[in-house]
Amino acid sequence: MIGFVAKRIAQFIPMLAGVVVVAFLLVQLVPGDPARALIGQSATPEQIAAVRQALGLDNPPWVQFYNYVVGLFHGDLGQSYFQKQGVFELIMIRLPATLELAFGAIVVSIVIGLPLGVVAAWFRGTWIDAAALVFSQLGVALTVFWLAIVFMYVFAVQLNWLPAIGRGTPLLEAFGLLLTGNPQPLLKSLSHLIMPAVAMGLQGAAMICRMVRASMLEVLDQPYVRTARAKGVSERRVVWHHALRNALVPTVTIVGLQFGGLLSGAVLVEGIFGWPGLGQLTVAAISQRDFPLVQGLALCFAVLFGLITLVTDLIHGAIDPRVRDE
Amino acid sequence: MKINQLINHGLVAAVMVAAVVPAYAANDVVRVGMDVDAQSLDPRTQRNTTDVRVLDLLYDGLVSLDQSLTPQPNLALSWEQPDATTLIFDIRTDAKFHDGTPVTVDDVIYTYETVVDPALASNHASNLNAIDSVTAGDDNTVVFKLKAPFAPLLSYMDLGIVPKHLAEAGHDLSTQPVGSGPFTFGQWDRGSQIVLNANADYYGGVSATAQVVFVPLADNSARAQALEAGSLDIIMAPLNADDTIRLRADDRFQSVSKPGIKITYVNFNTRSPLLSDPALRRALSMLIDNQTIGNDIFGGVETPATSILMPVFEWGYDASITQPAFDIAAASAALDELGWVMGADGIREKDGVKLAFTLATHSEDSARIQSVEYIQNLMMAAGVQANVSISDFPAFIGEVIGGSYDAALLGWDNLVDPDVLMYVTLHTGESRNWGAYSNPETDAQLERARTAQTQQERGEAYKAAARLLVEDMPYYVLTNAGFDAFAAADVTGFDPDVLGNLRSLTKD
Repeated sequence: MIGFVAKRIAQFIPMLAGVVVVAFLLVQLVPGDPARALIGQSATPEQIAAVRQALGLDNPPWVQFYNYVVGLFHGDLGQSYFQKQGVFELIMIRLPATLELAFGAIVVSIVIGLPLGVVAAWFRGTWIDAAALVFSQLGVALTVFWLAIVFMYVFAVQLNWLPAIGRGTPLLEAFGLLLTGNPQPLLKSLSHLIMPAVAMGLQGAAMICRMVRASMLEVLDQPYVRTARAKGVSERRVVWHHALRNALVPTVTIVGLQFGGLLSGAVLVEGIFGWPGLGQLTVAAISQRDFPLVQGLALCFAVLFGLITLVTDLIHGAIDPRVRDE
Repeated sequence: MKINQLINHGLVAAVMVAAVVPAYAANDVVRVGMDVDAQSLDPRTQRNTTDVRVLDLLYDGLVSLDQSLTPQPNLALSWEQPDATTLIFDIRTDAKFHDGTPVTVDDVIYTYETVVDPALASNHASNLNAIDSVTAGDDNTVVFKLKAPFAPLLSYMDLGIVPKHLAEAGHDLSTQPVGSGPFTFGQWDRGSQIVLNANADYYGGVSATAQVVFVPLADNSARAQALEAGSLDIIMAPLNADDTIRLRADDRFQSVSKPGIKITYVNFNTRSPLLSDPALRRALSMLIDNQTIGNDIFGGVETPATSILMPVFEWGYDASITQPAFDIAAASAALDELGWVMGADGIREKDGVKLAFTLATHSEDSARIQSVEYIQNLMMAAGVQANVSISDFPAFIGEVIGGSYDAALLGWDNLVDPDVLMYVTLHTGESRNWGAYSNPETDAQLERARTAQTQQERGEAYKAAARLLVEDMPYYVLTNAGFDAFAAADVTGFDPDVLGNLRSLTKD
């Protein structure tokens, strides 16, 4: 297993190298000058030239790339043009918030999607099944952005049940406080997290529901299940122990794939809910042409995605013996 | 203890507490929604509107602009102008920076000397270029000597004064601001909030609002909803037209709606072979329906403009000076006269060249996109092909500033004086004259407006310039933007000025 993990991590390197090159090329090719974005429309050409020189933008692109890569080898992701802070620090400050949101969305998709898919398979052919299928169609069709605004309108503006914007205490900290007997911070954090997490998680829930239903139906038709029933195994055990285990494999795959979608969904949702994560940072970095920050974020997302894929594969191996034996 | 004794003790305690505890703040916390996070909290390197609004609470300038944009005493108790190129300010002695050190003449001199340093790349530098020297005079005064008479100068002297001793010691004011204003800097969580606390030692008295929190929230609709949900207390422009109209009609919120200091306009590149002829620009202007654009596309939040003169500057406004009126038939006749013949494909041509050009704008404002599409349709009716080009703001503005555009729809903001709108943008050879417009007569009027000593003469000069500009049409001014702001009912002291500044929160 260690060998498997080590091999996969070694595969990261060419992938990250590719991301570095592509990210660098893209920011260079997109029109728009960070120096101008930095000092505004009113700047004189001399001021722009001075800022470009200070940022190293007057060097030819290959020199800029070389300097960047040398920095990378020293573990230095560079300085943000706009925020006067190291790119690495900026990302690390915001990363927990986005991970919290992604985690919340994944929990929502599993908690809604998995039971719904099981129930749909169990009650296959009835109105329950039909309702679940309708839900899964809607979930895939409704955009995250629209859901976010509608949730905010209904639950924050009209019903006033939930706060419209912001993030509460970081979840881990809130859990810690809960253990010391203070549940308030956790409740507050959850009240801030719930709308963005549900908006982002519904699509995943819809997909999981379909996949779980389909794989369960596939299993429930198998001869060995008929045999088990004939042997007197209870229906509940048939469903939960045999069929569901089979359905978990595609679920894990979907969650892993979903993660990439969640990162891009975060870009939209964070802006609406004022969630202080990487998504907001990315939007600002791109619209300001903050090259080092954009490149750093591209690398960060690539690393995150690679790690999630690795974890997904490991979990696959854990629950599906056929994969393990390869 | 007996009940009576208990009550007695309680009453005594309450009276003692009331005597000792200072009057409670009228507002405890006011959360203000902004569209972008601040970039720099050093007044000399201010970059965006959030910076301006936060800086206004943290720092004091020599003067401060009131609701009618007239300079009022702030750190300067008074000023006099012994001759056209000398300005002397008498500085107050009771103002202190937030670290306790007094604000002195040296700090004023330091601020004005460093703001024009190219290394800072300050947006104020071009406005303050007229200053030749800043020196200490007798008796706590600062003497400004100008290179030439420059009438608008006082409007730019609300620039926040920075603490020389901290700046010279290498303290980074842009992230750790230290001013002398009614609020002190609490903390800045990037992308989340900027927290300011009332300055207990402010010379003008402690603010009636104890804490102001600026919250960046990019999406305009989300910001409006956050106000309605009670998560924000104040929001202001930029806002979507629909949200503005809905909130204006909602009695739960206080609203302020004033003529703004911002315009939306079409910038013609006079270098472009097609658009170099003023007669053609006039004809094209007759195909722009700014009434519909202002009233319908912008929902009346922006009012149709008559010319480059802005109604907010009453002394320099004349409604009878007007740009070519919207008239498709007259435009067609004018184009016929200029030799543009309608082709078989419905596009006019002359000497083998089609009457086609690119009309560009940026993607962030949906009303501007609708406007260019609307203009495109109107122009098609007269045989003019306007190709729409949309890109995000940095890409768009790069092309415009670089001169590689035909016509561009954009805006100017923070127009505290007509000089800001007209001089650097329309005078021959100036840095923001992106369309390369040049008319020596217009130059002469703009220079006259800068150096004139009375507001009336300045007004006459701007009107004369406007008469020339409606003939030459380097700009078609679509609308004068209004300024709209909304607050929750329980916010006291809500009276932002047209710059969006919130000093009024300090008063009850």
